[in-house]
Amino acid sequence: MMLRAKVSCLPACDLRGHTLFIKDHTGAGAGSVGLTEFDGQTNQTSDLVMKAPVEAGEYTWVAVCPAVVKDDVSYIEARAPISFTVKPHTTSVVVWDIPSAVVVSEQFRIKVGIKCSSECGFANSRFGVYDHEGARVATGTLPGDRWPGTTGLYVAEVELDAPAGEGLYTWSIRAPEAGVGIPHADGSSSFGVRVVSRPEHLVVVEAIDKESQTPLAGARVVMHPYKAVSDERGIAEVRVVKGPYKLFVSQTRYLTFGLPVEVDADMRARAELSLEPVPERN
Amino acid sequence: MAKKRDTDQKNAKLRGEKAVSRRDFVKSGAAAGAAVFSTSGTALAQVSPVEAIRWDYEVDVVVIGAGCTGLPAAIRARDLGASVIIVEQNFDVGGKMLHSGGQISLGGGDPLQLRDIRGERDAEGFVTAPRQHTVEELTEDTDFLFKDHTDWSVMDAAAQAPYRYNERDLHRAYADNCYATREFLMANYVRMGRISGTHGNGGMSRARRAVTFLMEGPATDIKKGTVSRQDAGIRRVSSSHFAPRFMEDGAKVASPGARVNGAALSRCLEFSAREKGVRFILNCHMDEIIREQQFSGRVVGIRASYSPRFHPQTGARLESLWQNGNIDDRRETIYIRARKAIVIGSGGHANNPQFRSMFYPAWREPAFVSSGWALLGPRGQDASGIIAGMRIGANLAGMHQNLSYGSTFHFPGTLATRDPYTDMLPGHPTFPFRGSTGIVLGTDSFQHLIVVNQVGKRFFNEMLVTVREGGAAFPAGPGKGQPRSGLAHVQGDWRNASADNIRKTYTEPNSIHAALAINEGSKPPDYLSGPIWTIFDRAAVERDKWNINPPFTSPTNGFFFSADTIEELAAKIYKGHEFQRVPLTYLAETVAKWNSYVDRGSDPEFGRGSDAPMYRIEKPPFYAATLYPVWHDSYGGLRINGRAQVVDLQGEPIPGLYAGGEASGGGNQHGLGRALVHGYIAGTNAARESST
Repeated sequence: MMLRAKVSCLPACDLRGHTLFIKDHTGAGAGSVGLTEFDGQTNQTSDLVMKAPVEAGEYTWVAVCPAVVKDDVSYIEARAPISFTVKPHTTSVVVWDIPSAVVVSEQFRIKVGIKCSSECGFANSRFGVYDHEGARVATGTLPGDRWPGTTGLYVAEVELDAPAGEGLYTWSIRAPEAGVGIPHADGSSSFGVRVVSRPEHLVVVEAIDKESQTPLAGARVVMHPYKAVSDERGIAEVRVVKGPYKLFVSQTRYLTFGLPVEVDADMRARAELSLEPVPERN
Repeated sequence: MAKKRDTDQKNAKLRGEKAVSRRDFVKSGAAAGAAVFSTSGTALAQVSPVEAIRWDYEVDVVVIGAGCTGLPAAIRARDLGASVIIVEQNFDVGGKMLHSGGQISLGGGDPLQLRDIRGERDAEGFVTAPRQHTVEELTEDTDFLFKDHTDWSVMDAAAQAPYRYNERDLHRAYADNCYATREFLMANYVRMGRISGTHGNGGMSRARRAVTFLMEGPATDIKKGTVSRQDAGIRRVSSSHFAPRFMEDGAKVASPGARVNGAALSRCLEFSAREKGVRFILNCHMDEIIREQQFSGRVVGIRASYSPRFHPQTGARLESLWQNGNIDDRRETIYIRARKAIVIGSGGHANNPQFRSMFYPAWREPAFVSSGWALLGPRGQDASGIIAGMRIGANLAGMHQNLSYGSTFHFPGTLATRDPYTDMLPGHPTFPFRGSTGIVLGTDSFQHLIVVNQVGKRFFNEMLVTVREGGAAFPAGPGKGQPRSGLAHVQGDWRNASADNIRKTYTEPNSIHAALAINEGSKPPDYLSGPIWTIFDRAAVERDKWNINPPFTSPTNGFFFSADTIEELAAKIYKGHEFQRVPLTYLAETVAKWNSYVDRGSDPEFGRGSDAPMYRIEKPPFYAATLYPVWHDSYGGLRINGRAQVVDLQGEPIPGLYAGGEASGGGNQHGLGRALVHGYIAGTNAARESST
């Protein structure tokens, strides 16, 4: 934290060169700073950067201007309280690469990233994974190094067991106690786990450029919650359970193809995509 | 932390300095050393500042603005023997025309319609593309064009009636001068391709639009009709000083090797104007039009001030591409006398939040700018010509017509730039003002992101945010709000405007209005809506193959941020964006809620899921990029008559004062055609005025 103090006297006096002392809540000396500016009425210090207490809470420190004699005038000691609140660091949790559909009781993997707002080190810290009933179902350990390209994100991969029943479950990750002597607020993040029964049918989707009638590789096929990407032949295979779906096929710079389908057997679908029109500008 | 702005202070200051009162004018007149006046406020009627002014220049016609109205007006007046000075607030010539698409809808049996009807090529033999329309679709006369432009029955797909309010006299003159204007353009080095469709609000019944082009060649040579590849620009790499926007391929409407856009119009007219002896005072902002008496008598001249622009990094003054004909006057204030007339071609009011909010208070948000903001500078489109006219008694017309065209204000769909309409690339001297080209996304790419307001809340279905309907124009049809297409459109048919037709064709998504709405961060008295942000993740960038590197984004211009967590992203936006006046309190909650909707496969708030797939925003780093709306055209401005004379509140022309284009109102027609014809008419009549 940064402090700056002003000192004025009656009558006005130039106290530049005089030193102020900061005493913490225990009365111990926490620092000092000189008065460096005088505008004819008021003296002012330069900025004093100090370390906040390691425990969260309300604090009152004191700034002390010792007695001084200046130009044959005696000035008595002056004190001013410094009240402030220390807040714990914030911890953020991110979760990604969650499969859009997991078959009942099968294993799946997710990635977990944890970061302190002040970029504290979380190396080798452990975190917990909690299910929809609040039970801890797994723990993970953060690595020793920050994730490349980030300023303090620690990333780990966790393997989990899907519930035995179909449904959409909300699970959560809770951040670790930092263990670095600095208070951190509880950090957590919830995520959805879509559990499905074992797919019964194969849907083969062929993505085609409508104008050229050539295959579209890399087209994204979505039949929520199932996803696939087309290969060089424009073919994507999606295994789904029986039921109604909205089949979407999308590709960069193309208009998304959408088609309601009812799946009760293996089937094929052909998606002809048109290029998105370029907006007219004048 | 970026300094927060409730008003566009820099612009406001500039406007404040320029909007000098009559009393200030008297003072500045005295300061010019010509005479001593009483500066008492009560003495204004007794003094005669005109007599006291020491004119720095004197010409027949003074043209304000070197754009789409000013250039043709100046050339036309010069052709008729007048001496002409153009004052232009920017450092270069062209105005908005320079970064336009170069599409000119005229009609009424204009020379290009006739050329296509006859199946002919252009005189130089450049145009090899086949005719785009049938003879019937090109055949009309001026009466037919006039009726088309004043067809009360036309309702567009947003249930607006764009033609209903068009000034009759103005559009009669427009129809009568389209032929001459097209000829005039061709006589001044402007090459145009085949007629193809019609511009928004350029009429429903016939094809009237042609695009300007130059042929790619070894060097730029206006007389030969060529532009070098470097000057024409390289797609997604560079623009040039010659053409601020990349010149597109014109093979379809002209021939292989043709490069099209507004540079092929603007630079050709500029070249011709300079060749014919039109003089330019650039970096010179018109501050006041001087009339014999404030509300009576002729206009006699203008007061203008030095308005240079400097490169943001080097500090060097920006200079025009071509110099011949320039008068480099750097005095703070100059007076220019007009012996015959003054033509206001200063553009519209899109960059003046106070003016543009006259009919839509939400647009008082100063964060949002006009199209071409970087090119035109802070004084471009500042309504100064309109305000100067109003101060000497001019009437206004058609201000409400701002609401009658889908492109007037809209989301262009370009992220991470303050100036999202202009796809200017590095190479033009004003690119540093943009800092980034922007990430250009089609409507479908919005499936990969969410859009939030200044407090971090979603407000609309993202798939509809950038959707807009074009103006009502040929070939008409339901997509343009009309029951019948092409030649089948019937002028003045009541069924066009029937409630039944409107129900069938109404498709206004209204996203822009939701974006500008009052939200939890809006504070009185203006209740500014604040910036709009797109939020996405690394997975979106990889999935849809977006290039988020410079020059498409800038790490320093405050319009693009990345962070490891959503909380950190919100903090960075608040700290680093000058118009982000409040924290994005709800952003983390919004993203979490969105991810739960994705898991569920539907969006109960805004209906996503049925129109496109949904994707979680989960993989770091996370990104925020602005999605700024733009105010593109100005409709509404000074009332002018068919002679392009500015009309006062009694319906009488103000002697010697002309205007056109976006400085004028009463004509809701998109594109260049309106301004070019106004300029042609104004130049013709200005030159024919008697000298004083």
